[in-house]
Amino acid sequence: MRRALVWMGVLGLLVAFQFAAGAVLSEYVIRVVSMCALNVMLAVALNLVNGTTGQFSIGHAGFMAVGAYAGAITSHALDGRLGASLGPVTLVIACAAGALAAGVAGVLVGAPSLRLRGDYLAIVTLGFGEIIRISIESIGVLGGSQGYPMGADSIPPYAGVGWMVGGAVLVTVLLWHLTYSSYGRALSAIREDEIAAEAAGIPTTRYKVLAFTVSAMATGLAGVLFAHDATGGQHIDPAGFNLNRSVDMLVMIIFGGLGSLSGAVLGGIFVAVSLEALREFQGYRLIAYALLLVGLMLLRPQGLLGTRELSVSMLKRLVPGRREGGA
Amino acid sequence: MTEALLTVDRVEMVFGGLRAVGGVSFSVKPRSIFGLIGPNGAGKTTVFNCITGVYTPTAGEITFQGRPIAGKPAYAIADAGVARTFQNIRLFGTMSVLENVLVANHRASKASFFDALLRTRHYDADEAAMREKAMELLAIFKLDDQAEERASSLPYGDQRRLEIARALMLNPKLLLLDEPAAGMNSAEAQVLQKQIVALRDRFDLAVLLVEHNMQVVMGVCEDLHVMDRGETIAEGTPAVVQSHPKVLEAYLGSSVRSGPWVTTEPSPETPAEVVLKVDDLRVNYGGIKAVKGISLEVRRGELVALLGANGAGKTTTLKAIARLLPWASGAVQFLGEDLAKREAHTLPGLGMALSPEGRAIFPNLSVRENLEMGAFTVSDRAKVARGMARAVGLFPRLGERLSQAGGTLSGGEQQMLAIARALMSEPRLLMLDEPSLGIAPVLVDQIFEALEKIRKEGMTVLLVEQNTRRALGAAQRAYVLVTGEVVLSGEAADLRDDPRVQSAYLGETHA
Ligand SMILES: Nc1ncnc2c1ncn2[C@@H]1O[C@H](COP(=O)(O)OP(=O)(O)OP(=O)(O)O)[C@@H](O)[C@H]1O
Ligand SMILES: [Mg+2]
Repeated sequence: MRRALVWMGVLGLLVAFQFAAGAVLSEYVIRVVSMCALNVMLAVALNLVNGTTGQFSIGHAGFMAVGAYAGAITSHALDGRLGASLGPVTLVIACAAGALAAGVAGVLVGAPSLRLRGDYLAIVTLGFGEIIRISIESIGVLGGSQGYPMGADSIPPYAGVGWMVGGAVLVTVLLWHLTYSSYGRALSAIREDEIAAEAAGIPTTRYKVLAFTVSAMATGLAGVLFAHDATGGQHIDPAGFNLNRSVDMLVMIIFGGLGSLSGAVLGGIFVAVSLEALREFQGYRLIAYALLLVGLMLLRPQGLLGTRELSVSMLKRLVPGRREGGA
Repeated sequence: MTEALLTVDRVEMVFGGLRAVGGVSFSVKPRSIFGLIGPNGAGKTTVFNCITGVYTPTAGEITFQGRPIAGKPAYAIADAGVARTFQNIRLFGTMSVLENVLVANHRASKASFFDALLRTRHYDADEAAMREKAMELLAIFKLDDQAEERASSLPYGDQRRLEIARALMLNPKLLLLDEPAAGMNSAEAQVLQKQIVALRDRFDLAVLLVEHNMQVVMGVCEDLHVMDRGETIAEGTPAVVQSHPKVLEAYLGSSVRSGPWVTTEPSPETPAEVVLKVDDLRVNYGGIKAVKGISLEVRRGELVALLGANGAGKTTTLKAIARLLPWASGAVQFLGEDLAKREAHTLPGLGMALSPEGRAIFPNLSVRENLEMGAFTVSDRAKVARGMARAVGLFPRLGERLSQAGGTLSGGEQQMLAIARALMSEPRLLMLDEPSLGIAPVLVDQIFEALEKIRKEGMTVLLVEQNTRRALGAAQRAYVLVTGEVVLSGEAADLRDDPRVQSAYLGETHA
């Protein structure tokens, strides 16, 4: 009962935020907040696979693309019938469709490749991400490389900043529950030692696929919200889901500390804000990432938070300055 | 006759050309304690791996509670009630002690995936019950105080106990223990021996035990099965097996006779030059003071033993000397050189070699390559060849397996490789961390004989060893550590009969 109340409260706040934001915040700030929220979803989702479960996916932009296209097609079909007044309903259905489609793609990619140990997943997901992008480019009804939708049509801009932040909260809370549950422990056990995890009764392949699918679904959801982002272009094209996007996601979780959910949140926000701040230098972002990662490896190879979570005691320790040194 | 819980029927496991297990049959009755023993590389761990689904046997049948399980996935076999520990400890290192145990309850948990995702009240109740049960199991092994610590930070003996606790969380009907007493001293082994019997009674399970500690094996097992090179060489009650000539020859060696294994003469009247001098060395792990000001000296041609219970700080001391751990304070001189300014990788060049606890074999390199890595700093080819010949002479098994990958060697074979690798550079100071760990009794004799020979040839040895009697029999001098401090030191001959040595151990154990 209390939990239901908490959720209602959060929902109320988000609705209030959605309506108040336009009045209080500048368009620019709303835009940046929406981008941060999008990145948080992407980072938290990828962290479940690469951080918690210890697998390595470098093609998650593919799932984002599947979600975005599936969601956009759904809302395109519904919007005419339901009209703008039922926009939120359209958006919720689009979210469900996008997450589902990405989840199916997750099973199809994960089931064969997660059976194998080692680096196969990295190679398969890399290929998957590119194949999705290239397939979309060559499918006429999806608009090819021109993007979707075609002509003067546009995707309805139903995902205001409240929705974006709401999506980030939902994904983060659910995955936080999952990570710090019995299931999350099983996934971490797989990361630590697969043979021992099996001996402890964990069906490792099935659970890797499970984690991968959940992660793909959350990424798909992020894709839908991205497509409907009110501050975005109301248009998606395959180039938006290229390898750069996957690299962005990797940088977010490596920066925050692989395996740390709060680290992923911080990493997502960090990348969004710095990309925005360095907007003129977009073309150099791979160089900037390289410098950032090299610096990180020298100063804090485990990432900002390592595998730990942000906590009050951690913040307290930062405040009174350095304690005495020693190892 | 009661029906068997587990039947292993003509099981065979072939790796490439090697018959690791060549048709072994035995059966384990419910609530019995059954021992599987034999020399290093006999195939015991491989039998465990076949039973628990890590390998699918190349031939033969395995039946558990009347159902065939050979070739089933490992998690399904664990679900069915077969739990195990691993010879080379496999904990979930970065997870907490409590989480390690909780993982094994996941399948029994009644909360669904959606309960977990939404963190329902049902989930919370289930989790609370799970934690309570896990804490009870940890309490049996006196690990409840460390529940929130990282599993990898526990001392070796506690890690072994934690593996047993984790296995018990599966509610098994059959518990497979692969060398649970490895790395424990005799007082701790005694406690373990009682615990094994107590576990059987309390949890109503059968135990299949692989162990080289004969005190434990003879103390708890009702039936024994002895293997050598994949074949059965004897079976029966401990009394029968113990006096079986084949078993004596292939496995037990002198261990059935009880020491005193004194092989060495006392220190010479005029002391030789100091090779290693440690002065008030302190090492901390985070806030914990692991080594609290140790001073010791090792002279040329000496074998010095560093003794003490689990967690006393012996391994930490060796690692700190080898510069593998940072010092909080203190000084170490090696052949007159101040090690404070040295980095770990330069020490082999100076003439120091360490055979570390946990062996640190390169798993994907062959035995030959592993040995060559030990001579990395040696540019003289003749010396490398001499080292290789010595390694093979000391451990003929390694000679048979020069091209096998290090990671697939049996536990004892890996230990041989670690010792042989440390010897490759013909170091001035050889530091050995529990060389007898996981080694069959006959071979322990051989290793100590070899150490004596090496020492006579002029090498200096600093030895950490749980087998106190053995170590004091081989050493000239010894230091006894308790919780990071030297409490006793002197001539090994004097310490042999000193009751304080025993109490130094007992004061620390989980009695
Ligand atoms: N995957 C593998 N590939 C090749 N050889 C293997 C493999 N696994 C084990 N062996 C070999 O099979 C033999 C039996 O190994 P096993 O680990 O079962 O011995 P063990 O009886 O447990 O010995 P120890 O007492 O030393 O632990 C060893 O000689 C080992 O080198
Ligand atoms: Mg073994």
